[in-house]
Amino acid sequence: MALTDTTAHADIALNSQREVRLTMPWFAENSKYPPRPTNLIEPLVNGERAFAAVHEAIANARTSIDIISWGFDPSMRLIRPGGERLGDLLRRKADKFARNDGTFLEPSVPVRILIWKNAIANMGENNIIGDGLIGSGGGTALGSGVGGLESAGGGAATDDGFNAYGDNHLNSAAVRALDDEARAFNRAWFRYQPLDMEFRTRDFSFYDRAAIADQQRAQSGMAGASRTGALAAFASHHQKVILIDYESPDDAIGFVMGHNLLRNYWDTDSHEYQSTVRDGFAPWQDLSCRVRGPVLFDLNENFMTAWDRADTGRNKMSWSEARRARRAEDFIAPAQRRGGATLAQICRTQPQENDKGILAAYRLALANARNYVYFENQYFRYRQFAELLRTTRRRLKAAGWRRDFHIFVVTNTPDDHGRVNTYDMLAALGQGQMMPAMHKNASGQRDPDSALRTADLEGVNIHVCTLLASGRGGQYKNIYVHSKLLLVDDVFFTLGSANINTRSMETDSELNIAAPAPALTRQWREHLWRIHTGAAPGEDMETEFDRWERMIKANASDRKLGAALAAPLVEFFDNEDAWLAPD
Amino acid sequence: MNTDKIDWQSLEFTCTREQNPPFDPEADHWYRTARNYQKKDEEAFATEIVALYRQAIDKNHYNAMLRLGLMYIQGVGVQPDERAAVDLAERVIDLGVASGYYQIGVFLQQGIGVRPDRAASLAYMRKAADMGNKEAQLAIGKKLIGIKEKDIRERVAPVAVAMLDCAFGQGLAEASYELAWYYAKDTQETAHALKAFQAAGKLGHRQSLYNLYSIFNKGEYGVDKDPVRAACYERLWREVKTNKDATFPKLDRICPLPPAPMPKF
Repeated sequence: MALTDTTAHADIALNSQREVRLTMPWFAENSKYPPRPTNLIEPLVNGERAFAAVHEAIANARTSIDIISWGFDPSMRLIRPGGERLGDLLRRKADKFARNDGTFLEPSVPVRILIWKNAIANMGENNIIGDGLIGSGGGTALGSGVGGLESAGGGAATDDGFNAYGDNHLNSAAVRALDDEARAFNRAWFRYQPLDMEFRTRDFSFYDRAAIADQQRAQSGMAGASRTGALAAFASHHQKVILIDYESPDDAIGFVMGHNLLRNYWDTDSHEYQSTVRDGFAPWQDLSCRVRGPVLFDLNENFMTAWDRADTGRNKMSWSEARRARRAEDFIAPAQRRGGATLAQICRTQPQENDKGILAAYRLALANARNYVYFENQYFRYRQFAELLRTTRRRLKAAGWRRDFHIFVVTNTPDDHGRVNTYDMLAALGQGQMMPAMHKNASGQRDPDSALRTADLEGVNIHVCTLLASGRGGQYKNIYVHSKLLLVDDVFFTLGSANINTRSMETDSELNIAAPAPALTRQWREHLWRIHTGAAPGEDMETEFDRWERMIKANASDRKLGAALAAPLVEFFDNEDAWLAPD
Repeated sequence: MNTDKIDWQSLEFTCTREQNPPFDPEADHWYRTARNYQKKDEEAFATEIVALYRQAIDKNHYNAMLRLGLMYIQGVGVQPDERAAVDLAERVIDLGVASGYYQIGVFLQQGIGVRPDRAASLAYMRKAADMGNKEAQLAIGKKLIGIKEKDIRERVAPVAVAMLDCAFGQGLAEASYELAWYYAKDTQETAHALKAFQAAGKLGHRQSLYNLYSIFNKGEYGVDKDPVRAACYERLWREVKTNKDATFPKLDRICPLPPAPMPKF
């Protein structure tokens, strides 16, 4: 993948000043929404914080509540333990006869909820708990309440790189088999909707899918025929955005999220091995943020377009005049008053509008990297980025850049990652045997969406890691990494719903926020590296790289010996060797 | 796990040093020229580099074969073609050179140009190790030390240590680094661990120097905190960061291990 060309020409008038500040370009040009000034962005690390903020915003909403998500479980509690169920909270806000504490009637707040739904994909994974196939009432298409304790939205990818959100029958988001109360709650919730609430699902039309398939085919050397078909067939709406009180700029808040509104997304920074407050689900690492400022205008445009596109013909609610009248500038002063000063851009993948803004933002950011790149992402499977990183580094070295850059990745391991059991391994290690046959591949390029190997990352300084929680007595459990965050150089970050794979970069609908914001980027890094490595990070990346190496090595030993890990960080490629690169 | 069926004897290892035919001088000159270009700017000089490697390969320069193979995998100067890299590594094997077996082992392990096959990968690496290839000795040593089942791991540990010692004896610093971790965590023989880190540190192994710095800085593995010694290692660690080829053959005099006192300058 070629480096984005960032050559620019500017005329500078020196008659009134002698100093000019130049910065790297961080905003991609071919992106639907422009960069907006004076935004206030607040990181929300992990579900406890993110969901508490969402709950607060919804509870205080006065003019509107707009929700886009991939998954939705009205029975979940945002605040735990003992918080109100999301469904109850939303219904109470939308209810024309709800009372406040002092028994006054509160005006109802219009609630719009837009969730992805694909009837076929739903066969395997129910991302809308309680909503039957095409509104039949409850549970998955396979029958009400079917499904185990597996988490929603977190299936590990199959080995050929295809991360199918919907094609894994065991990976159901259904409520715990024992939680009859929640199941009943959900069935009832979907059956009755207050007048001021509307629930819509959205999907890709046949035409949309054909267009996606065409785009994929047109890209030379990209996914083969079966992959194209699969990407098109299972394209999903993956965006997760919440918009509150948009009509009233002083109060308006938005959330750009990695979290879905599903119960297994709740967790704390400590990612306990065992946790009753997680309803028995596995530990979950995820990131969202709260925003104020003119980016809300773009979040609204995205929402209104998507909502109108999902029109079912039986419109209950219409857009208010106040909403239509809002301009981006209206949100500047309210954000500034609260300290908002960040230039930020909403970027998306939106195949229906041929928008690949997120990919453009990533490409630009990686080409700009000088010091470090940090990926915290559910998937790390877009080979073009590996090539891009190698190219960036090569160019820097050739230009005489003295310092090396370092790459840190926190992601998930695929299921068994090609492990051989000890017995087979020892059998294969006997001396004096005949060399076994090997099956050579045909000449030509590899599938761009398959798992990265150590070899693909050769020549760059990189740690690819995953997270592990320790229990007692040598027990370990994966902390599922659902985050979608990129940090570059303590200068730039982008956060949202986009995974590092072909789907998120090209064929699903996704939404991220991107900002060259040194203080915020630093804040993300300090928080995340502290919880992953067990100690506050420093500024020097070479030191950090070696510190990570030490932690990884110590944890590998501890894990082997059945001891508790000092921090969750463990190596991803722990059974792969370096190829020989002779002097 | 049924350990009766394990053929312990076949796991035994005798240290061998890798011995390969000498390079043709002209071919080696081409190879070195290509390497210099590559270190300067691989992309800009890609055509020259590929041409020089091909010339060297015609005269059976096996390192040129491996290097060209890597360029095929990454698609630098040539169209990406992992199969070509495999073919080149096979030519190295045909010359009777151990590193070819190791490289094929890595390809099989990671599915580069071949269908991944972990068992086959191990067989190739074993062959390379027995022929004296130090990278293969390191790789197998690590896998044996990394076995989760305690009783098996303890039984094969002497083989692992033998392989790592053999690799380090041929100058592979990382092998001593791996041994150091084994002594620090598995057997808890801190003195051995420190010596192994020190041995690797002499060869300029950055991570070993970092570990020595960290151990004395924090006082880990039963070692007393020793800020002066820690600072000594930290200085050398920083030096290696800027000069990747630095070695410290006199490390025992500059930053000696306890109980030797720190030198006074």
